[in-house]
Amino acid sequence: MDILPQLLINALITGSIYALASSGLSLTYSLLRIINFAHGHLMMTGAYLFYLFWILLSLPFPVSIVCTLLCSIVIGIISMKICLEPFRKLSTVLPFVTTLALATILEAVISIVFGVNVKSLSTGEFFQSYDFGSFVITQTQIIIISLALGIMFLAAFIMHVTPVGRKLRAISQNAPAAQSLGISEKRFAYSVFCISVMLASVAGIMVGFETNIQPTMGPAFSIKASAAMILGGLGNLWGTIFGSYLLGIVENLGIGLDFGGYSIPAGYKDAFSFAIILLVLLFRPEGIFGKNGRTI
Amino acid sequence: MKNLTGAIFLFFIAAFSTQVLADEKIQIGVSTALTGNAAPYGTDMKNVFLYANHVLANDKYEFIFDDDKCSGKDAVTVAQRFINILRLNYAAGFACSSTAISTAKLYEKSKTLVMITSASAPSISQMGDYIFRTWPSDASFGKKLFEYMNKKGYKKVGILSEQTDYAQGLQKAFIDADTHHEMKIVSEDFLTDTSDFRTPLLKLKAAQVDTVFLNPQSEVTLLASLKQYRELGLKAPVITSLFNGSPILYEKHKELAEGIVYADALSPEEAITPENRHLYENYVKQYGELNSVKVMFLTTFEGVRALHAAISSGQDLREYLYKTTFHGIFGDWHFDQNGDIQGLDPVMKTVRNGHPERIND
Repeated sequence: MDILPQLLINALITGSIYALASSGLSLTYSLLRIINFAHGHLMMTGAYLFYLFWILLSLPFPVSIVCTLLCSIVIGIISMKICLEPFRKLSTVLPFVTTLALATILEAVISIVFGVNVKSLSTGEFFQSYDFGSFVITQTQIIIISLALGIMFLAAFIMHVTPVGRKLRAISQNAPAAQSLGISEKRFAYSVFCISVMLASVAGIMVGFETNIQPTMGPAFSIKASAAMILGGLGNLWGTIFGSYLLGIVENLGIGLDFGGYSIPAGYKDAFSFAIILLVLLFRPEGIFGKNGRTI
Repeated sequence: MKNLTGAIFLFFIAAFSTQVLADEKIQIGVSTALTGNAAPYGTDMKNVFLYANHVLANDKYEFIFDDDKCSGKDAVTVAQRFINILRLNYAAGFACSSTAISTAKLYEKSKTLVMITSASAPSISQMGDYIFRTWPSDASFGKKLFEYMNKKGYKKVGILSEQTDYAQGLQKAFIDADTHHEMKIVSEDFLTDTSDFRTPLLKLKAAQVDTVFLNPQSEVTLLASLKQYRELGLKAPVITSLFNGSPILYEKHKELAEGIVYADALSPEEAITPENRHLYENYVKQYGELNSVKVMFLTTFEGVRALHAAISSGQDLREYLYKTTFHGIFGDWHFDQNGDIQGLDPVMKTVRNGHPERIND
C-alpha cells in the first residue's frame, strides 16, 4: 500500500496549520523585534472566543468569526499596551518575560471562564471526508489549506502592492529613517500586533476544528511556530511560511517513510524534526531565508 | 474565693481545649490533576472525596487538594509539601500513574499512608507497603483486552500508545498477557501533547492490522486520535480501555464513539447494590454527573471508606487494611498482598446508539 500521497497531504495540512500559526509570529518579530511567547496562547484564546460566540451563544458562523476577530483586536491592543509597549525599547529580554506572563494569564483566565475540560468546535458540519483513492481529506482540512494559501497571497499583496506594505517594510528595515519620513512606528506596531493576534485567532479556530480546544494547547503551538520561523529566517514572512511547510514535510515524511525496513517511531517525531532544524541552522544560522533574503 | 476563680478559669480552659480538639479535623493530602488534560479526573475525584467525607465520616477529615497536573515532576513538589511542610500522615488521590509512581518512594520513606483512587499502572503494585489502591490495576485490563481480541481471532494488532506510565503500563500488560505469542503487534508511540496522529495511524493502516488498540492517557487525546482515525477512513475495529466509559466521549461525541469496544470497570449503575443506590443518586443530585469515568465514584468512595475505617480502628493502619474485608457499595472487596483492590474486575463494553453497553464476553 503506497502511503506517500497521504503522507504528502498530511504534511500539507500540518504545514498549513504551522503557517497560520507562525505568520503572525513572524510579522510581530519583523516589526517589533520580539518573539511573542504568548502567540500559542493567543491562538487558544481566539479558539475559545469563537467557541463562545458560535457554540455557546449560537451566533451564525460569519458573525462568530467577525466577533472573534473584533475581540482579538481588543486583546491585541490591551496586550500591546500592557505587556509590550512599556518594555520593548528598554530591553530585548524583558518582552520574553512579559509575553510569558501574558501566556500564563491567558491560560488561567480561559481555565476559570470556560473550565479545564476539552471543548469541541466540531458540530459535524465539517466532518465529511473526501476519498480520492490514494488519499483522504476532510472539508476542514481543505479549508485550512485554502485559508493558509489565501492569507499568504493576501499578505503578499499587502506587503508588495499597497502603500501600507511599503511603509511596514520601511519600518522593518530602518525604523529611525522611516520615522524621519513621517511614518508612525507606534501606530504600525499596534496595527501589526493586532493583525498578528487576528492571525493567531484564525489559526486557533482552525486547530479547534481539526482537533479540539483546551486551555493548555498554547505552548505546543508557540514552540512549533517559533521553530518554523527560526528555520525559515527570523522575521522573514516568506521564510517562515516556507519553514512551516518544511517542518510539516519533515515531521510527516520522517516518521511515515520506510528507511531500508526501518521507520522512525512517531514518538520521536519532534526529536527528528528538531535535529533536522539544528542541522540546517549549523549551515545557515540565519535560517534558510534569513539575512540575505528579504524581510517581511 | 481565689481557688474558686482559679477552678472556674481552669474549667473554661479545659472545656475550650476539648472543644478545639473535638473540632480539629484530621488532614489528608489529595494530590490530583486539577488543570490540564486529566483535569476531568481530578475534579471528579475532588467532588467524590468531599461527598464521601460527608456521607461516610460526617466531615471528620479535612482534604487538602493540590494540583499535580498529572505530571510526575509537579507531583513530587506536592508530595514534598504534604510530607515536609504540612507533615501529613495520609495522602490520597492520584489521577495519573506517573504521579503515583514518581512519589511512591517519598511517601513510603516518610511512612505516609497512601490511598490511590485512580492510577492504574501495574508497577504501582510493587511500590511498597504503605501504598494501597482502590483502582483496578492495568494488569487486569490488559489481560481482559487480550482475551477479548484473542477470542475475536485478531492476529495482527496495531497499538497507538501515548508515552506515559499509564499507557505504556497497559500496553505492556496487554503484550504480557499474550504468553503464547499468538498476536503480531505493530506498535506506534506518541509524546504527550501530540495532537496530530495522522501519520502513525496511516502506518497502522498500511500495516493492514486486524484491529487498532488506541491507548492514550486521557480522553482528550483519545478524542483527537479517534477523530483523525475516522477521517482517514480506517476500517479496522477500534479497541481501547476505560476512557470510552467517559461521558465526555459517548455523550458529546456520539458519532466518533459509536461502535468502539473497550475494557471498563463496571459503572456505578451496574455495580452498586440496590440498598446503596441512593448514595450515587444523591451524589449526582449534588455534584452532577461525573465528567471523567464513572468508576471514579466507586474507587474514590471506597478509598475514603477504607481510609476512614483504618484511621478509626485505632489499629496498625497497614495491618488493618490488609486483613479487612470491606462491605462496599458494590459488594465485598479487600486488598491483596500488594495493596491492590480485589473485587472490582473489568468488563468489555461497546458504545451503541450513543450509550455504553456491556458485551457478553
